[in-house]
Amino acid sequence: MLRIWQDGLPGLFIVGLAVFVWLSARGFPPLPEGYPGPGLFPQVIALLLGGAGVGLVFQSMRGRDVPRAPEFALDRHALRALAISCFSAVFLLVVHALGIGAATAVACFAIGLLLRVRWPTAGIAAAVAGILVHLLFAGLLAVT
Amino acid sequence: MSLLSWQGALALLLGALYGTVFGAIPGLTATLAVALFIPVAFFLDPAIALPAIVAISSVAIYAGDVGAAIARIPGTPASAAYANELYRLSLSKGPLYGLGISALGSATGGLLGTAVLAGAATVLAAVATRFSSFEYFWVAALGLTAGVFASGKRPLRAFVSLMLGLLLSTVGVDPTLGYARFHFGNPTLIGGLDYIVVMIGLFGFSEVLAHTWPGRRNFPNANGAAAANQWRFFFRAPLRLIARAKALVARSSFLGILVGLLPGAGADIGAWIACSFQKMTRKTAPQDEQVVLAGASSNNAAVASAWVPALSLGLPGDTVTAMVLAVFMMKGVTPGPMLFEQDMPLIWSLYGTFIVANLLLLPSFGFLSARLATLALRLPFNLLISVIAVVCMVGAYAINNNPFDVWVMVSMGLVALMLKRHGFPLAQVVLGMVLGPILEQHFMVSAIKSNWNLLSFFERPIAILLMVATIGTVLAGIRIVRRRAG
Repeated sequence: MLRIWQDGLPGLFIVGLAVFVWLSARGFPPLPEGYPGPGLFPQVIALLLGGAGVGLVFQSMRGRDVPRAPEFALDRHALRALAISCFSAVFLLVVHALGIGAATAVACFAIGLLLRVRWPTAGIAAAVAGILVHLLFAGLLAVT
Repeated sequence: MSLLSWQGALALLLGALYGTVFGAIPGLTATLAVALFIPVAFFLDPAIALPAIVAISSVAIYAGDVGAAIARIPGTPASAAYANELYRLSLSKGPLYGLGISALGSATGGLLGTAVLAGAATVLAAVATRFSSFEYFWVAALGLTAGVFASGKRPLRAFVSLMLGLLLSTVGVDPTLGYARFHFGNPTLIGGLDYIVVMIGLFGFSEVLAHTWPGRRNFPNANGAAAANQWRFFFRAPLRLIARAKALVARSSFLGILVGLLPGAGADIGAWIACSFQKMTRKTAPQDEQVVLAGASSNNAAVASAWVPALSLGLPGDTVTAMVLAVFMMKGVTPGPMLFEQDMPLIWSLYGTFIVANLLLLPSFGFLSARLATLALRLPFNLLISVIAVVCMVGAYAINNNPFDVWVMVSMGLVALMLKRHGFPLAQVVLGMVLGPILEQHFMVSAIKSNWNLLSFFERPIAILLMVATIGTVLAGIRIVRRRAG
């Protein structure tokens, strides 16, 4: 029963998403004379998504076509993945203060250390990446 | 000046080099590369500017496959159609082989597209003008349907991914009526989600995150093929494959040419239809080589055929040709039937450029970029991951100079991890995002102009043909999925 619950969870989530989209799209204004307006397309998608979600739940109950992906377990590796994601905040903070080249170097160095790259190697890679990004993006493309 | 001058040759070489760099970096696209070149092109003779633009776009479209081969980060939505297969090929047989198939397949498709451009431009352009919003709607529907069955054995999950992509495409201003949807009060979201940013997150950043788990640590093998082997992997083996799969290449190129002819349709649909067709028409699961070959040849065939409506009618086939038309106008060159009478040297120069770009530049710069990619794979694994992570952040930020795009990219990476965990394919999300606005806009325009008489979708002959093709794709796909499951 627990397995069915776990396997059916994506389907239930999708049904929930479909309901949310449907309800949100109902608030969009129609065209004159009552014809469908900007809400039509999202509502059609919501209907199809909801149907697909129900289909996934039925598939899980029948034990059919349920892929397993145990390698993405919620363990310390997941924390590391989350930490890498959070470094995007560091990148954005530095890019405003020091420019895109420096932000690249800082983010590259920090993520390298997080992934246990030896600090001299991470430092050299960060410096090279920062310089190249500065030349291409800041110099040529005027990204600031 | 002409292609045969040293200036023309230099323009080709520099254009190809520039296109290779741009195409290979996530976040930088062929369109951006051409857009940055346009201010320079204004000051050049058209006989020099046009070859450079052709070289940039032809090579950059292929170069988007480099990221897919080494890290599963496709450079364009069309590359996303076969990114998984290309990555698997790189893992099993090395990136040189996969990229060789992509480069030489692209070159072959490009040559076939050029042949069509040279032989039948004005005739085919007349066909393209018969496409109205009704036909465009069915073309988009056909592309989406092909995407559902391109994933293999799990069409329901592919359908969900496609719907998620369509849903993401509804964020922002409605393409027909201008109403802002799903922005939740955030002014940045009123502009919608950039599909390039989403693609970097779904493919690139999610791969970075996935590789933090030890069981996922696999990158293509870079270890030393000798120089002679490199040539064999990149040139000889793929050429043998192309020689054996002539029908596949011709069919896929034909599909790409058809789609490229349609103004505004883009190469993406052609690559998806070609890859899906290849997956659906085999009794057993197709080889990865064949899927990559189908997608790559369709891709570059569309690049060439997009010039057909541009030259013959002044209607841009894609964003690149739209910019080229601007150059034409600046230079006092008027596209249309008279162009073929009044300025044939320019036209011949253009044809010659396509031939040189596909015959010489694509294979040589393709080999160069593949070698450089192989060298990059010699870096320590964790260092490579950290560099790719930062490239994803930089690429996402640089597109619009907007910090919000970095958050979107990271969020999409996390969403992609969840999707992968539960067996949902990712490429269909991008397909839905790209085709969603086309599908919705043409549906709404058609419905409004026919006063919501939905039967009008089934009245025009070409629309009926496309509808039949769409239904046929669904039925064939269901049959094949059942056969493979049973």
